[in-house]
Amino acid sequence: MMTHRLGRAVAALFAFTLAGTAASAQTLPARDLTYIIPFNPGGESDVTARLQEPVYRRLTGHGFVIQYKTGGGGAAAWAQLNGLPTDGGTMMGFNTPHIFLQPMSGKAGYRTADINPVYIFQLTPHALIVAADSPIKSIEEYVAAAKAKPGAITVAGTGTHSANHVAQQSFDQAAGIRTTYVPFTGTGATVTALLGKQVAALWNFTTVGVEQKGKVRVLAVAMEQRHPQFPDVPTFREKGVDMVDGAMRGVAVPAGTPDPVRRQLSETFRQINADPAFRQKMIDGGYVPLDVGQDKLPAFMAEHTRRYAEIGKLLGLVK
Amino acid sequence: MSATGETTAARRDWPGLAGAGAAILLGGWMLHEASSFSDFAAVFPRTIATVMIAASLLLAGRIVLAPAVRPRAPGGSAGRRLALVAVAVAWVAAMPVAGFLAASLAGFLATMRVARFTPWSTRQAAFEGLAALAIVGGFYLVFEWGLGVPLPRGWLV
Amino acid sequence: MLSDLLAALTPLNLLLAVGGVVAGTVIGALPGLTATMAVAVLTPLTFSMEPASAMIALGAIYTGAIYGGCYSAILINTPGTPSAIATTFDGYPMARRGDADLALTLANLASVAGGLVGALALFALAPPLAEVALAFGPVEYFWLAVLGLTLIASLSEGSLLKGLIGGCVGLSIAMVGTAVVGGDVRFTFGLPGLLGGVNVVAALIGLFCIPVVIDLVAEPGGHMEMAESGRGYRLSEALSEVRGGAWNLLRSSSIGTFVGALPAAGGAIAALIAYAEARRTSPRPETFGKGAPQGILACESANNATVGGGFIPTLVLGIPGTPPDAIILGALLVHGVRTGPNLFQEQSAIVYTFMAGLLVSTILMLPLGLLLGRYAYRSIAAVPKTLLAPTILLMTILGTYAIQGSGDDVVVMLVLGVAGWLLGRAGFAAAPIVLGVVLGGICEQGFVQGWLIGGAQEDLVGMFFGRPISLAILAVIALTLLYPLLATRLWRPRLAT
Repeated sequence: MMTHRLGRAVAALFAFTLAGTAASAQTLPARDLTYIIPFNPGGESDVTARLQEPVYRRLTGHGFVIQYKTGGGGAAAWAQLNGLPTDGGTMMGFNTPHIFLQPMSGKAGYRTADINPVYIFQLTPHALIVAADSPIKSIEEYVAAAKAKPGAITVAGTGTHSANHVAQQSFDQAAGIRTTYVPFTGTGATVTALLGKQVAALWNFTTVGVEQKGKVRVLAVAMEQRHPQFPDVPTFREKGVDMVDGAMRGVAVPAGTPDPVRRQLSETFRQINADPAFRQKMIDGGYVPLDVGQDKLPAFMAEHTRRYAEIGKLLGLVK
Repeated sequence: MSATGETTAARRDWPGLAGAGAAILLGGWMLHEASSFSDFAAVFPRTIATVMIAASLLLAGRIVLAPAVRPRAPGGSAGRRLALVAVAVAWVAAMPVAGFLAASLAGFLATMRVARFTPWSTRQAAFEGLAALAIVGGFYLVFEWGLGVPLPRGWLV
Repeated sequence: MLSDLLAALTPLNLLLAVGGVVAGTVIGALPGLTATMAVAVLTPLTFSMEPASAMIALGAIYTGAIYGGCYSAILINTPGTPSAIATTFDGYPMARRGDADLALTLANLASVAGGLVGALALFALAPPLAEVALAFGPVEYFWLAVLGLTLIASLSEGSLLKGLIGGCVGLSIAMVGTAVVGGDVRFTFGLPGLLGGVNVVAALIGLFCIPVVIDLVAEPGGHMEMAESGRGYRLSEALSEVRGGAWNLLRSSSIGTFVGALPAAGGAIAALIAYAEARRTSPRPETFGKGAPQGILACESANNATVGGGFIPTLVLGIPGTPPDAIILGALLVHGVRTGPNLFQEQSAIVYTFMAGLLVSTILMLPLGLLLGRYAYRSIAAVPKTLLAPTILLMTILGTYAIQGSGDDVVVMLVLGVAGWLLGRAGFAAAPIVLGVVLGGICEQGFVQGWLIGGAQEDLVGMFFGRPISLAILAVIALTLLYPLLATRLWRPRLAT
């Protein structure tokens, strides 16, 4: 297996040295694209990249070289984004709300403006989840239980000042309740804690509801309309809580990457997202495809910077 | 640093004492830093720092009060050890500038010199020089092209 | 079901198992390239295969990589993967005194035995073991980490106080970076490269391997005692050691299977705890750390048992038991296989073929591993020091860089390596420091999460001391700490006469 790959690699070595000299700085280099994932292998970002790769290969004739640079909830990777090569051969996944909230502490090693987004391709909406045999059957019962004993309900989530943490804080504020947020590393650990009855509930995304179907009950999802995978699960809006949000994922390039290359990448990701089979796989997995390309990104980033400044106050990140 | 350290049995464990002192400084610094953390992030550093300081104080006391045998001093050339560390530092520092291949070839050859105790004959030098090229080049190919690890680029590649 | 099992024996699947074991073993043997990385790198190659064949290939790579970690642990005192940390304790001393060949054969037999126990447990006990894994909460993880930390007492090489200080240094290193609870940025000296913390593998390579290279160049003598030629694999010696340690193997494999099934623990912790238990129950605990064959049997059987064990929550609950399992789950998703709690029921054909494939790969590891081990031993033995020292140095730098393509990790590795050598000069052994680095995260998170949950339930004491599994682990901790005292009191006088 290794030799097969090596053989291909040696052939690629020659192809690359020839192509490398010919390619101008205005187009994507004719080789595999280095795709840096700031999270652990097997997570949402990684699975999405793995599903994108075959479509990308069909469109461009090249694949991804996926690298994992983990730590600090993604900050370790994003702090190094602008030191990477700018020929368009390297890009990095990024997530919201992370890139808005982390820099507020002033210690994240990067500013939101340092991230140069190329495309945002998906949303995983927040979801409030309990175990299937939990006594809490509905969002009303959840709120009632929290009101009866403030702080006694424990809710697992991934990380501090993360998307899950934002969801917990926003919902508690909107519903006027108090719960205890218990951060874990990684979705797997939170699901274990939920199924093992270590915690009463879990803030995560619709994706967990899909993966753990039958073992968990999704109480509500933070979407405008119900998710096709959960036709029976209400949205928070239906229940009178105005919460439509989640984690968004996209790709960014180092500052200095030429504009035509960015537009080309953006167009490629638009085409990947438009692929019907890919789109269906995303929806089946609980994701919501999003299309925010180069044209819409400046306005999008400005709007979210404003919005998360408010949430930063709620979390106590900004005074 | 010489090999003679082993013979004197009643010498105090000065390196151990230095280690204890360093640990106390580290613990103090951690306690100082922890004062600005939130409660949940501070509890563990505080506990560890306290245990570390307590153990270091005990160790220092024991070293000063009871004459202890110094731990085995390693024999061999201190100069070569220092040279190796210097080569390794230079190697790592040169990687971002010179690229992996150039830095590693130079670093590899320098380390060979540090590890060599007898002069090279021409044949040996030629053989080991070729071996060095093959090893560095082989690892480079396996990692860069076989495992898809993008190594730093520079002077050679 | 039988036909699903036999499907693992098609020529293609057998070939994939052989290729996977070999590729995994080689990658695992290189310091820095962990089992996680081996699986991640080779995953795309399996996308063109049938899901069951892909699973067999990935399982074989995973098994091989966990096993391959023992080569560098024994031959150059550097765990090829974190799972092989405990293997260095006795493997390297054995190699130094000229028993590298025996150590490699022992590691092979133990790995196969442990792998078989893990795979059979996956067959027979998966659902009940998954339930027990779920009962393991933050507090239990905390106590498990504390149990691992009690090993400091036995790894301190003379001075318990120095071991304790070393352990605290390791725990401090584990706290560098962004705190999971609280989100504070701690001890990073303002360097963005440290935001994600000190990479455990980089720390391992630095602390274990750099001191070896530093001392290697200082003297003209050989790296290890060379055995006289023609001793072969020393299989009969190894087998008699295995017969004498059958109970040790079984216990260590069971520990490995169970710890592997815990989603937040892994091969490193399993091997360390199995090692601690083997030492505690050994009639000659003082030989451990100085080249005790039973130490190798304990940790190598435990770490390979985590492979089968880790697949238990992966297949039964849809929760990855170990990091490589997470990638394999992701790969299944790409194949269009629905993972999750229903995988066992809905895709039983794939699951059973895969389990049979895992058994086959484990058995194949016996001949393949012996051959590869011999080759690794011969190449290390044959290479003159002028080439060996730079090659090891090259591997540390390259391997550390490859973990996540980061030059910062290489700097961290080198700094820790030089610091580790200096500390070693002062009598602070590397093993307790590494123990702290590996266990620090789990220990802290378990404690703080337990504190949060116990606080919310207004029952902190009950949280930490009232849960049955916690109490059981606490009892083992007490036994481990008090046993040496009891043993001296009760048995020494009689032995002395």
